[in-house]
Amino acid sequence: MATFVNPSTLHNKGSFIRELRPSSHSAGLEGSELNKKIESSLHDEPIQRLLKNLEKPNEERHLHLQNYLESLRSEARSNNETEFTIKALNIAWQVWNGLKDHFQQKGLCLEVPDACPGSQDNFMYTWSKAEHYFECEIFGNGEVEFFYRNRSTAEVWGEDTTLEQGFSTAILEKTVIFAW
Amino acid sequence: MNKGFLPLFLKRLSSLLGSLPVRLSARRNLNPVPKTCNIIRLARPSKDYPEKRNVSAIQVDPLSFKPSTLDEASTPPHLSVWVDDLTTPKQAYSFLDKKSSPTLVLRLKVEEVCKIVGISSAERKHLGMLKVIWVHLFSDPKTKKTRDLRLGAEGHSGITGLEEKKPIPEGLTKQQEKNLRKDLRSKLAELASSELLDE
Repeated sequence: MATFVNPSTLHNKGSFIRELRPSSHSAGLEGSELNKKIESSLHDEPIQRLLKNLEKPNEERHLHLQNYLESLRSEARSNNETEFTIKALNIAWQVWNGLKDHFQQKGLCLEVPDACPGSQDNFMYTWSKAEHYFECEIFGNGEVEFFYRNRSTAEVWGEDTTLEQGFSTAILEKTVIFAW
Repeated sequence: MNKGFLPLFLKRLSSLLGSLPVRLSARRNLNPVPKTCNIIRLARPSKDYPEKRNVSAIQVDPLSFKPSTLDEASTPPHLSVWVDDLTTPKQAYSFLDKKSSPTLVLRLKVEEVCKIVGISSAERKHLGMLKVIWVHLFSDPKTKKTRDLRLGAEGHSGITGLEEKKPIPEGLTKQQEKNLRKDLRSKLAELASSELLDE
């Protein structure tokens, strides 16, 4: 049975693997055999190399975020009247790494969000994909506020936490929308 | 007489007459800005702006990018904006207390801002939460005797309804109130078109 891969899925690992697998309704015995073959071939060296390459853009975006936060740190140091503190930036970096590491341990790759500081010692990450909008607002006092909005269903959801409290199941369920 | 003078004079006169209804409306502090107006907002670009041209919700957060000549005591909490018939982006920039470089110019239509429906929970929709009002600037915000007469000061206005309400509106939990504010803020950001100040 020939397997055709949609070229548009080649930009990330998750969609690439999903595309390789037969759809559930056509699975059957032949499909489950194919699934097993795909699972075993994922450990082959050439496939591993290809999958690693698919993750590269996200690694670059991770470094870009790190550099961006670094540039804001020097701004916070050089200006006494700055609107955000180094503490807020440090918490923002820890929040990102906490989320990224959580999904990495599960074999998933979390999309690097857009980021911007506010003027009340706050900092915001935003993710947007199709109807899903998700934001994480971090404050210098340690508060971390998550907010989700579905543009199609008008669902809204929010939850507050701190680094010490960690990320609840509900927060991770919303975040996983942006992981692959 | 200089040949170029007359066309220039007529152009300026036409522009002045065209903005007359807006100028008359601007004389009444805290009154609504006409719905036909466009407003601009200055903000700091986000990390991915050069690549994706995203507008982040934090860029439409109240209390940021405030002009220093604002009378805070007698105005309701608002997001500082400028009516673009009366203030150019560069004029607006000159009023800012704290400046960022580069600076992003966000543009919004008053009519669209007023139409945003806020959502606090599955059961609750909130119409007419956001309003755009004139907010006068004063040369001395303490005495409030004379208005700021610098070029562009006339166009200062504000979007109200984005701030955290205290006490919380009846029937809403603290979390629902927070959801409502974040919902309004993200929708406002999505409505804005944007460009860099020197583009």
